[in-house]
Amino acid sequence: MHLPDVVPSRMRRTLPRTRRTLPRTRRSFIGLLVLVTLTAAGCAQDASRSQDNGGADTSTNDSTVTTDAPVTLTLLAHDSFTPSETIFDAFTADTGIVVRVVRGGDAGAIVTKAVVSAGNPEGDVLWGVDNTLLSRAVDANVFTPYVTVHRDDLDAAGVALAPDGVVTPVDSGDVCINYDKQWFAERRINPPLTLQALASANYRNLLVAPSPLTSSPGLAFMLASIAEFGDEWTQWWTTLRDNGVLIVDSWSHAYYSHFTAASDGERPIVVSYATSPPAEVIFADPRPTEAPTAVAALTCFRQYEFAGILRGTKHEAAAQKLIDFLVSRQFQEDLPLTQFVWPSNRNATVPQEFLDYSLRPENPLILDPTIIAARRAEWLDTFSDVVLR
Amino acid sequence: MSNRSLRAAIPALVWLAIFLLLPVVVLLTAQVEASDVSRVLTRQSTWRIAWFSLWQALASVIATFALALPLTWFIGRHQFRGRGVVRAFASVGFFLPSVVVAAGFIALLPTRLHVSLAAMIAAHAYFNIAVVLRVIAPRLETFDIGLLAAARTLGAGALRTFTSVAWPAMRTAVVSAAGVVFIYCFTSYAVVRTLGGVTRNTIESDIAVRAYAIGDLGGAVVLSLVQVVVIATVVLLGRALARDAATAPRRTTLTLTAAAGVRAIVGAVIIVVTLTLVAAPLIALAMSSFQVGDTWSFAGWRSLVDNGAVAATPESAPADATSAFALVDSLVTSGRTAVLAAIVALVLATGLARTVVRLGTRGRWLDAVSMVPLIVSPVTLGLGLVVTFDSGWYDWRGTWWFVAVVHSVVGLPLAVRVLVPVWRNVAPSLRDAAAVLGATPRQRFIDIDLRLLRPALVAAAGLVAAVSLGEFGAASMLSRSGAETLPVMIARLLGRTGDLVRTQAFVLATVLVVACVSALLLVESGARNHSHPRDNTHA
Repeated sequence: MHLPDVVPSRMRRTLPRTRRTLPRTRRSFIGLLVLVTLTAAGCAQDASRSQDNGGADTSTNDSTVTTDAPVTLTLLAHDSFTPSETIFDAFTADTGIVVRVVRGGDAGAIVTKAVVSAGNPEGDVLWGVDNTLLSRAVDANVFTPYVTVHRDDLDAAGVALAPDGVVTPVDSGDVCINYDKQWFAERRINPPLTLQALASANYRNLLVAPSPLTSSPGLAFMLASIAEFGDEWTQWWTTLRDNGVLIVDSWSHAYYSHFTAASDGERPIVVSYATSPPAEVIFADPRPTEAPTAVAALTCFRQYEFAGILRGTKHEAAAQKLIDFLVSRQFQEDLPLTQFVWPSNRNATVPQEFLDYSLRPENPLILDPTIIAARRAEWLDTFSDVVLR
Repeated sequence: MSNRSLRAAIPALVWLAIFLLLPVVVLLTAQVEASDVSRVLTRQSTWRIAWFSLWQALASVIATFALALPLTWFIGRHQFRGRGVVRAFASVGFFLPSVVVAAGFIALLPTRLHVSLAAMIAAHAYFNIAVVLRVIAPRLETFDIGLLAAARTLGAGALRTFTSVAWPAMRTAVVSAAGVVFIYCFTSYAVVRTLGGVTRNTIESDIAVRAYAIGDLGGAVVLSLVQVVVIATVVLLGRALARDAATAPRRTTLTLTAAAGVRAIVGAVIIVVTLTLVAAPLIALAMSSFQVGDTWSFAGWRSLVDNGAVAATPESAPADATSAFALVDSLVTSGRTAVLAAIVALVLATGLARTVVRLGTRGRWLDAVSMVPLIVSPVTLGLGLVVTFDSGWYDWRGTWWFVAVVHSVVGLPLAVRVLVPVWRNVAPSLRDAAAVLGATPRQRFIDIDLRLLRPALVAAAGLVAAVSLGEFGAASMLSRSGAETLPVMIARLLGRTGDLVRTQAFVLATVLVVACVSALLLVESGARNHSHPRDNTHA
């Protein structure tokens, strides 16, 4: 059976390891290398020892929080975390807690970094681990559980993915097939409404999709096919490949270089977000009355994003308050127009223009995060072999 | 004497040991098991990917030389007005973040060529014109043309003159430039991913996939070691081939000929063709910044000046609207980092270069060590830094200056490369004369070496600053507080739906191009006043 690739780093240290992988270069090099390697190995052990202590101490961390001293919390987030600039001012006014936002690459990068520094985190709270990455982080024991006071107001399906409060669902969005309405109308062809339809000869050479290996919507689309077809998913991709699907590196390349509705490209079907049509309207000058694109609701895979308290934080109580704020109405109502996602808090008011052009699929495709974590590497390898040959 | 001169290199060596070697070793010991090594080395795809990395890098080196050599020859052998400006413009590609250049190529190329081997190799050549130009042209400048005439007088044919006189004098510079270009192309990541397409992988792009998409850290680290070994082998092989020419460079008089007559026409053609090729993707970028969807519009630029243009849509301004305020913020962030990185790299590189020059041919190993930052995978280095500097007083994750520290490491090889050849040309007789006149070693260093090196120091600092402005490698793996840097901001805006958002990305890219060109022109104007160190001595 397949084991998750990421084993907690502390377990790894107990395993035998090799040193013979150092590059063998010229003799004059080696003297220096050996010298510095020895020093380095010494330091590394120091570093790991203190890291282990940090992990063991977490249970006592609460006591280190003093009530009077102003606390500064570090909120780690991916590069797409762009709330309104003044959004944390109210939180600071209420609690005296200052929030410092630190961005660290895309979602995959921040989770990988959280995993290698589990127990000795870079910050106090992490924003932006999604259901395709969640188990990788949870298995590496990255988070300290906390059940938010707003729990009952949150999207139940999101909460169900992290039942013990190890993380808190903060927003969700759907990755779906988008199509160019005008292209299909002009040719009097029906647009594809299901994943199965995409394999039909009617849609030969019409689909462009980002690769699951390098793109998060690309990964969601691969998972959608697995959720829809089960073990038959590779056959579907083989048909798709023979039907002329174009796989590119990134979402932006697919959408802005190949999608007929957004570029000079020649493909009227693209893998994108369910919120792409409203964005096409809101970020256009002048604004059209109707979105030029539409979403095939039955092809949607739902992505939930979560926030969690990082194990090893020195400010656990303050971090809990921040989690509460992140799912409060005030913060949640800022999300739709700044990040084009749906709020997790059901009481949050969603702006009318967002509602007007958005589609919220009722029964999106979804997969259990533990299954994703366990089989993701294998699936990606299979995808490489089958589709990217 | 030898011990004394080695001392100057110690800060740089310690710096590299702490911020380059240590993180990689820590990551290695923490994440790699014996089974990872055998797993990676026995996987067939590893060797397929390594082979692709190798041959595409060699092909890219050839393409780079084909593109850059005519201009390099003309600039290296001729004196003409606007020489510095031409050199600045021709170099700009090297300093732009690959996400910007790739966007420019995509804006320029027909859809059919977006993803192709040709586009990928063309982009590699585009990036590296500057390397060939900056490394080989200075050597051409100091080549004594009289030697060729002497050989011809003695009866040597054109071929014989080339193989016996011209090539031996140029060999080291050519091999050095080829080596650097090879390393950059071998470790190429963003270009391969964007223009090479999803079926083409270099070791570096596979490292990123393993580390971030699959979560196989052990495999990623082992792959980065494979990369180091392959590159080191090829580069050392190249150096061994160039070894015979290791005689100290012959100092000759400056014999640049004024471009006139037929040569002026040939030169003009070379310059126009090369600069057109360099400018095309950038002009395509700039034009995109005036387009929203299919219509021409100033909306992108307007939104930069005041938030109004975009905020006119919903009553709450979307955060994506990139205001002038946010832009100034990110320019300040980028600028502050660039200045600190340049200062640190300059101080370290000066010491290192001094030792390399003093040791002469015995300094080759040190010269090689200074190249090491180029061959370490940015993904691996970034992760290594995160697990190494992680607790107590050395928990530096998320501080702004730590990014500058990483940039100083990545920029060090370039600074050393700029300083060493120029320093070698400082006549030792000047120092001797000063010593006879009673100058202390410190006075000699400050009043002779540093003064004569000023243009090279300015150039080195400018290069490190420009690299820092555009860097999207190791530092983008680090967490950053405060305002985003421009390249990160551009990448994020390019990843969003909405015509106006996309136009804003092109506006920012245009701003970045202008900033980089200005920085390079500044460097050139600093260097032009003292176009050659020895000219100064006669003044």
